[in-house]
Amino acid sequence: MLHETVRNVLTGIGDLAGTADTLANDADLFDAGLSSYGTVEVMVGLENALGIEFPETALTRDTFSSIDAIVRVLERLQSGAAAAGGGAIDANGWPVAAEGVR
Amino acid sequence: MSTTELAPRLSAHIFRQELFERGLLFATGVDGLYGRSATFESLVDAVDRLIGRLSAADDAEIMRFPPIMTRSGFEASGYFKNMPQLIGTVHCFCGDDREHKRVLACTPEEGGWTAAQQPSDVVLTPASCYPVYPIVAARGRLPEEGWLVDSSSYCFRREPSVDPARMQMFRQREQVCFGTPERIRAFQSHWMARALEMFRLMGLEATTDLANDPFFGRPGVLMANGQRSQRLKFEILVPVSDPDRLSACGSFNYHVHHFADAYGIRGTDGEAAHTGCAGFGLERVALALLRQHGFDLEAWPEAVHATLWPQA
Repeated sequence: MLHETVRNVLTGIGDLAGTADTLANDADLFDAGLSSYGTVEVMVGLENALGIEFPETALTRDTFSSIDAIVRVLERLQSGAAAAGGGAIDANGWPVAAEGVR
Repeated sequence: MSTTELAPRLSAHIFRQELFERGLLFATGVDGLYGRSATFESLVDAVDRLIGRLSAADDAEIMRFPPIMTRSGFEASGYFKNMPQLIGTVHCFCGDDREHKRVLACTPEEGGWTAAQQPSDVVLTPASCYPVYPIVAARGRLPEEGWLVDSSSYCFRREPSVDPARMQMFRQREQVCFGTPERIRAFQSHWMARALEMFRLMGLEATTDLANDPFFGRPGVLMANGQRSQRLKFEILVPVSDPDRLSACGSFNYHVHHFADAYGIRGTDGEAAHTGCAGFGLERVALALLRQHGFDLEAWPEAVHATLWPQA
């Protein structure tokens, strides 16, 4: 599921035009042509697609080095968020933010 | 030679005040914008000439620029994507007589005299290497051995500060190298070693360290981490005006093929060339010298004099 979402985002990145569909999950995205700007586009694309925000500690080159690497970070974020919130999750498996009560 | 004894720590504010009171810099009322005295200029000139002497045998092509560059060249660089907070654009009045009368009558709330200013086809130069890339790109493929340019320009960075080392406009002397990855890495490490020797000759205790550009926002964190993990940027650091941290007086950068892609710079084989630059902030080096050796240039150590003002 997450692999598919990540691949869909990569397909829309100019650096990987024409190659994202056929990349192995463990293929090095930088070797495949992903630039620094492209990495930022991947980050923004995933944040928009999943309604999440990568924490600053995850904003490293390693995070975006392969489809598998991205998925590993997303899964960690997902489990961390679920543990912290423990509440409802949406169709993507992401925790739904509770309304603040004042 | 014994190690240099560090001058007493001065806060940025006190150091700047001293520079004003001794007539080395002239205050304008805007932080980061200063006039320079004859003495200060002689120091900047001496540092500039020292860099020239140390690199004379490199046979670089000299390019000197005014402090503005083409807007098209600036836009191609991607600078606005990365560091929008630092740029300065040039806006001009392009209206007719009627429009002129209209804006003269505009209230401050309506924008005052700036109400009709339009972005022009030039912007303030953010680094002296930026005007170089479009010129080299326009010449076609690089020679087999690559190319080397010695550039210089006043540069603008919008970061007003009481720290005199953080000027909004300052001069950069920057060497720009074009070629293979191996050539650029060799250029980068050669200039780091050369810079350490240059600072030693000036009696300045310097170190080099890994660094990153001040990329903007959250994407900037990712850009900065990527730059560091690939070891693309190093700085030479000395005490200048911040008592708690060293200030960068120069940087040694490997751009991989970023600028080659942006401007279409090709090697002999038609592939994107790699580029790098090694630059010094001339005013910062001058300030580091004043901070280390004191405000009376006549009293500076003889060896430092001999380095900066060698007898013919």
